[in-house]
Amino acid sequence: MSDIKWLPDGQKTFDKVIAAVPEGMREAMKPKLAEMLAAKVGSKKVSKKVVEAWVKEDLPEPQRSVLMAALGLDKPAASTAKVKKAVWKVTGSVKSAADLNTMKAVGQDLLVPKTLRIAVSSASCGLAKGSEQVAAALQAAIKKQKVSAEVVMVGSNGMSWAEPVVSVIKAGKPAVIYGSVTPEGAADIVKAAAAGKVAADALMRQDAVKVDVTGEKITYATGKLPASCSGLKDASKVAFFKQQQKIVSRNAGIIAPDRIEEYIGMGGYKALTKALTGMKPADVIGEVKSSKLRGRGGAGFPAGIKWDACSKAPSDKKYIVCNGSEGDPEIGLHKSFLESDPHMLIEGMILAGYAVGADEGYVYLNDRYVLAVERVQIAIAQAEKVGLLGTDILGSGFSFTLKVKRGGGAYVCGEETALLNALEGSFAEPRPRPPLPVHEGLNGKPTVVNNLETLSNISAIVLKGGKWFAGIGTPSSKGSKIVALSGNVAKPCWVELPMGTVIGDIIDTFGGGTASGKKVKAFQTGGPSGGLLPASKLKLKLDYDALNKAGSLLGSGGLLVMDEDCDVVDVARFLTEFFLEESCGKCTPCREGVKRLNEIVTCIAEGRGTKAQLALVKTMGEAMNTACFCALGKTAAAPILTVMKHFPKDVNAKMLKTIN
Amino acid sequence: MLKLKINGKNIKAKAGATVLEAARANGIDIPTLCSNDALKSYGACRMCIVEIEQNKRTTIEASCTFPAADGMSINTKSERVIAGRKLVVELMLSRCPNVKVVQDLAREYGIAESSTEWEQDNEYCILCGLCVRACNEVVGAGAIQFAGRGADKIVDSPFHQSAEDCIACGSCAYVCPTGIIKKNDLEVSAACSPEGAEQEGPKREILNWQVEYELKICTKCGNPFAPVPHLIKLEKELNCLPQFFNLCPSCREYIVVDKDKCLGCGSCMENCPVGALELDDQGGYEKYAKVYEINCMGCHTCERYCPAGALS
Amino acid sequence: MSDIKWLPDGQKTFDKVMAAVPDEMRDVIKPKLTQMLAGKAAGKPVSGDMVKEWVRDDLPEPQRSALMAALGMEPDGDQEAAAPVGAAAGWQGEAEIMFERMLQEVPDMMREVFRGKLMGIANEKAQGGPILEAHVLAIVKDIVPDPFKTKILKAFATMGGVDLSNLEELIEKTAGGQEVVMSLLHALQEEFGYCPKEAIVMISQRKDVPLATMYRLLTCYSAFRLEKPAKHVITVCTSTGAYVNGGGELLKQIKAKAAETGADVTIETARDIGCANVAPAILVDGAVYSGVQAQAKLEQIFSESN
Repeated sequence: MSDIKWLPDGQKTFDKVIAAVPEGMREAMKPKLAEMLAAKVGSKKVSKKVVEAWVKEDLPEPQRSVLMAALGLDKPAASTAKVKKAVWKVTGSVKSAADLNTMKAVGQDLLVPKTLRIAVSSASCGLAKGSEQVAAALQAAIKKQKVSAEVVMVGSNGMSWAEPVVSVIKAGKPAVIYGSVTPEGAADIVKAAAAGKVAADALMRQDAVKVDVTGEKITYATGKLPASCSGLKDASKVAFFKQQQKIVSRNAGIIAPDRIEEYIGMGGYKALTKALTGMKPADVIGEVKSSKLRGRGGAGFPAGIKWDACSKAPSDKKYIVCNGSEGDPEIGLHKSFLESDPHMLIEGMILAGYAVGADEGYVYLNDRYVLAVERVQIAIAQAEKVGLLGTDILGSGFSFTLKVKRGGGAYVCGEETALLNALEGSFAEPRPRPPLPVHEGLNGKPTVVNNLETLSNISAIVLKGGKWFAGIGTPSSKGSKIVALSGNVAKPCWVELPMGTVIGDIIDTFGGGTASGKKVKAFQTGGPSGGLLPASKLKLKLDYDALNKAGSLLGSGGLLVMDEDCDVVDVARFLTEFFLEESCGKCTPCREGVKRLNEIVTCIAEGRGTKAQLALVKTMGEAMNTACFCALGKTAAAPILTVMKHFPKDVNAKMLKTIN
Repeated sequence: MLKLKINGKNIKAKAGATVLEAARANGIDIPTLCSNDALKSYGACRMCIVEIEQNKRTTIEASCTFPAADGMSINTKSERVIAGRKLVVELMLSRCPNVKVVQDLAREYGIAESSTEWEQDNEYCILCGLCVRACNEVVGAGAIQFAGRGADKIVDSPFHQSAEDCIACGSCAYVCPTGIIKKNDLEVSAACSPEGAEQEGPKREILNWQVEYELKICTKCGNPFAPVPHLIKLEKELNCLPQFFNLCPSCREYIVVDKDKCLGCGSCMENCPVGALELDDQGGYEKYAKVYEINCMGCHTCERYCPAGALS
Repeated sequence: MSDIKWLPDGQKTFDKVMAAVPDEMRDVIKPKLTQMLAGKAAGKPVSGDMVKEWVRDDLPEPQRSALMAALGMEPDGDQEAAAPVGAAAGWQGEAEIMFERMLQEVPDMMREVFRGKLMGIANEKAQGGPILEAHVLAIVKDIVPDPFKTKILKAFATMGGVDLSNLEELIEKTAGGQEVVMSLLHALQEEFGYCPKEAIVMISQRKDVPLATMYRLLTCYSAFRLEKPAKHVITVCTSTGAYVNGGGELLKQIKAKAAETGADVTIETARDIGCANVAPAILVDGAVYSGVQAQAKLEQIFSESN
């Protein structure tokens, strides 16, 4: 052993290895193993890592596994069972409109193959309900039944209550959509699919997908309706889909998010081609302006004006930043959407870069969005591979690079200046405005910071024109909005609806009313800053101004439903506590104010409220709205104030009972 | 010059000034807790809020960070502004009831005590961030920072252990408005151990960051004058004569300009680390170097850069 | 050097001495050594023998032995030959690794000599017991000169119970300064489940970010843990949607059960684990569970401690 130069931890590790050798063999093995190791390392010093590597690489089985286990090198399998994912390889490049068409054909062949395509929803909402296990079961059934089929992991079509959703597709036949699929039911589905039949519990069929925005049509069914489908309604007639306005979510649930060809098959990157080969940057801004698109993150600022200001700011370097920080404590509104169709966002960002003169973009995502981060990165890599990201895109001379940055977990980073701080590697706290980010943003350069959904709308606006977009919605709020239903609702889901849709209708049509069957008592839009509204306001429409006027806000589109059994004062307490946890602590009125507010609201929620406290809460709320640095502090009192205003009975019931 | 109105009065302000600077330059008082001329505006205390009417829109902004502009109309004492300031003061009072600067403000705004509906703490740090900003922006040591967030925010040394990057310059204690930063210069200190107390030389301790450093002794008069790490840092950054690090301010020799030798080239002025030199014609035809004795720290950097040997 | 009257072999020998001094120190040491030698020579011409004599008589350990070795001089009779001396009573904790790291700074040529000398000093400090980390630290602080001392102390600050080789590699691969720190912290969190202090010190040193800033980044974002989590991490969904569906109750239940059974769990909350359609849901060690499955998994975890 004197040949080996041991580092202390290396010696210890080797001793562990020897100790793992069965006693009877130890004396014989020790010198042999030492010789092996010595031969491997030569004169290098031997550390723990070296010994571990030697065990992993040079020892034969079964000793290797045993010794690896002894050294603790066999890491437990990842607890989220993953279907063995083959990394999708993209071939070809898109350097012109002709190339795009070629890849489109490839994509459409993938979407409607001659062999079976069994698409399993795999956004977070599906995975949470076990869609990976379903996919594995389908895979196994296919092998066992020797069927020619491919299991494809697609995104979510919004029907979260019916997850896991499985779509069976084959050229010529209508697609069949199954819901709430279990691993046990997989075999039947495969059997039925192979025989051209429909298994039990199918939800609906789909004859074709007409992508209004891009003008593409994905046709599944040709010819007569097969008998097996006679009981099934076509998706386009089902209220859940019929009443939606699928602009940004037009591909979600249909395409595999890790196959750029499929995105292109649906007409993706047509907008980019149109802009880069036939429009000037000012034209693109013009379309966004005439669309009257307002920021989908909450503030509702007109995107076109923002872009215009940025494009006019004199600078050699500009940035596009996507605000995907979405810290609103509801249903991960945009998470499922982004996981289903990352290219929708990417195309929008490239268009934004072209419009304002930025060559670099960042997608800032919430810390918890691990899957979304992964998918967006894959999508970026594929776009780079085919040449739709990088230098001289489509031969236009325009270059754009995109990176994903994962946040550290701070709700305040939804505020654009705090987000910029975080992107620069600094702390999660907002900066003073002015200067506005469009003049001095990331690294001091003009930056457009837009919400994820805002940017995802751009490709549609460029393709069909701003005027078309402005024709949808209400006078003050144009286009569509993703709304995610959660809470006491029978069918949690996410849908895309035209602005102006009545909120009560959303809950009934899409949410199926409350889960308990009881009446709706309260609802919340716009996250905690929107406070709670009573059932009497259910006739309000999805509209920035209307909701602002009602004392709430549209926000990012979460719609939380609360039924009669809900203790709204306690929910107000819960939301105030949320603000307490998320306050960055920079400014006094928010840091100290939310702390004191939380003390009082907890007191009230626990049934020890007093009139003096109610009056104080009102004063505090007003003063905080005046004095706080950013919107977090300014709206921190909204939960309790709205509850006081709209649910006086509930509040009264929480007052301290005096002995009179 | 910008032309704007504050409280009905027409005033002029330099281009690039903030509303706070414009107000102060015209003798109008706006209260602040977290502002300091030597440090970048932070906008954290919200005492300096004012009502600003600009382009037909009225908003409430922090005057320390908001740029003054032509045609603005500012009200430093509107109802909303006063209500906002009162909340800030009352909240501060509930957090720091025994801090003088907070008590003074409470008196000024007619707040006898903080609301009985709130709990009361007894902190001494108002989280103005002046110490952090001084350490990071001016001193460049970066030894302390905020830690935590929201109601748990504090100013701390990393991992709440001795701040290794601290040079004990005492800038933090200097800018702190509440006096909570305890900087003590000890002429004689003792290290106590079971074997008995061992006397040690003069030390400076800053209790808040758990640091304790030796003070350098002046080679001339024998008095302690600066913490050793501070001198080491300056040694790295300045290009001055070595004697600067061995002599205390009383024993140092300060710069005198020999006008006959001075060429008026300005090299001294460019290289003075504290801006103590200027070129001045003093009524004559040519410009000569002039020393501002109040600023001169006796480092003799200028002497090294003078081509004519006019400084001594 | 003009003070010394050099004889040719004296100059050569002195040059050998200088060559044996580590690069970083040479410029600093040279005038000092020259001065020393000049003092000793006192005007007399300096021969090779005089230089050697000076090395043997006037230089302190451990430089003395090292330079004697470099000059090929016979070690003193009462010194042991440079056979590696071991720790008399072993090492405590990281002391041996620290000792080795310290010796890494010594040029190859002189290392074994230094090892012997420093080991002797360490054994002396240990006074019959094992050599403690504090002993090695004292040697570095008191005996080792700068710039090595600072370098070694910096390296010590990044040593802990954790293997930082992956982090080191990642730091090398990732270009940039403070703006890339967050991605390094995420990587740390994923590898260890928390951010060990030594790792933070390493990032601070390599990316030139003040340690106080690193600490603030760690504490102002909720994603990073400063302490090693328990065997199992249970994350309860606390989105509002989950709350109105009874999530608050679930959290209380779990906390109570954990306290009752003393289970080795870390309980955390998260606003969005993307499962409002199965609310209230929990993550256990990264996997999602809801309803009956959640209860079953929880029972399994809590019964482990019994």
